[in-house]
Amino acid sequence: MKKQIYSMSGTLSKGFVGQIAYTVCLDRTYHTLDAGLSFDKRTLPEITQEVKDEVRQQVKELYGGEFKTEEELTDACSSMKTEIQLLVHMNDEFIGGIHRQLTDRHMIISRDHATEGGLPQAEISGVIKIIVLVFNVLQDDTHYTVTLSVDDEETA
Amino acid sequence: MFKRLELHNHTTESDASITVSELLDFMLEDHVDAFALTDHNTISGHPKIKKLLEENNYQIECIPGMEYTTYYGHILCLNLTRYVPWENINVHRPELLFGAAKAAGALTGIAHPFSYGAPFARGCRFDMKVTDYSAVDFIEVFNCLEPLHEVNEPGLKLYEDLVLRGENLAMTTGMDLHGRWNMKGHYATYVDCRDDEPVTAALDRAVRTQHTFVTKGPVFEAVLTDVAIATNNAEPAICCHLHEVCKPGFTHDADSVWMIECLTRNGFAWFEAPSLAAADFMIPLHAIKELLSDPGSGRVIVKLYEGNTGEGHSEIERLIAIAPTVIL
Repeated sequence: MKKQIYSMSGTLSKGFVGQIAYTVCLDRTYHTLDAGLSFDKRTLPEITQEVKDEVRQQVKELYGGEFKTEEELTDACSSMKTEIQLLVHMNDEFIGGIHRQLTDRHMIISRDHATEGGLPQAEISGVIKIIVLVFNVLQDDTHYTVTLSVDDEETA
Repeated sequence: MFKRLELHNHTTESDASITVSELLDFMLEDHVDAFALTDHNTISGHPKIKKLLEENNYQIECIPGMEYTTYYGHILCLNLTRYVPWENINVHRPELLFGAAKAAGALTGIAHPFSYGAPFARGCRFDMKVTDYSAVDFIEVFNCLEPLHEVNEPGLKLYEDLVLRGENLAMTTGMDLHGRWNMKGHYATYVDCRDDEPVTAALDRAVRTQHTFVTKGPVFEAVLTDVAIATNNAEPAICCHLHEVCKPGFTHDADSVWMIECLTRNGFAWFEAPSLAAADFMIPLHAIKELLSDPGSGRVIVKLYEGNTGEGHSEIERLIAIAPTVIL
């Protein structure tokens, strides 16, 4: 029976870049692992003048460029996204990663199966490390949740 | 035998829209000789492609790889067979990650160095400060997903500047494929494979000796040779040669001339080579002696263009192929 053995939430500030790792020592050997990550505030609720000014300034500083029209600037601002990805290690070995533009994702790994991005594992045991990779955060108070569930049976 | 390689491809193992199996089918349809599997931050496609190739007798090879997609730049790893952690990436010391991947047997290179990154796609631009370029094997000079002038042109210039100042870097290209995209008209990488040599070995040798060929048409080579100028007398020259191998779909207007550019640290010189398709074209070194006047200017990047300047296209739009660097 699938059971959630770990759930951790956090809050990110606008502009944070880097990773946050959660480590769990499993109490015994399992058949299936399900590592989940979800977050909110993927896009900006509104393209304000403040946002436009900030993006215009960044583009000028980083690329020496300028937007030709206000519409182009607005479109560019609308395309910005909070980007958070997921990596999973077991006993310090990579067993999977999900690198997709999703706000809710699950890496499921068992002996015979793994969701895309993951590698099947003969058994789930030892130390699981879930790494939250934060590439871009658009807004303050962006919430994320990490979960780890395990199962004695094949669930995939 | 020259083989065409597509060295930058993604699948649904990361953020593309095609599965590993569909990528394989797509490469077979386009008559690619070998392709790399370079998903973002995962090697989960490796066993899948290996199984598919073992179960079928396809005339195509796969190069295992990964695109380290970091906060400060993308690092393309080829011939990478195991995952090397990157999470402790240091923007000031990227050599540590390049070195770790190399220690695992991989070839490491900078992907699309001048892509647009923050605030739109953090990490896409290479913002890391490389102090020791011996840690880097290659630079992706053309990423066919990216705009020619804004991204690829400065990428090519970075490669040229580094090579001409003495760095031993190979050049590669990639489609950065994320779907069934049309590869016609885009640059590809070619390497010269020995008989029965696995393409992974040929790629390793080609990159480590900076002997990769970039082209969207014929494979173009320039080598240092001696050319006879009189009985018992010869002088060194750069011999420019078009191989018969050509990327599928390329057409050359018979009325359009071939132009060759020799680029050195001190500048460049142009040569018109109308007969190139029929015979080798020789550039005696004395013809570019002013470009070779300084000590340390013993490297020549030779590039093949179609048509003259002033025909409505900028130089890079007319660029067809780049030969491995000639070292004098």
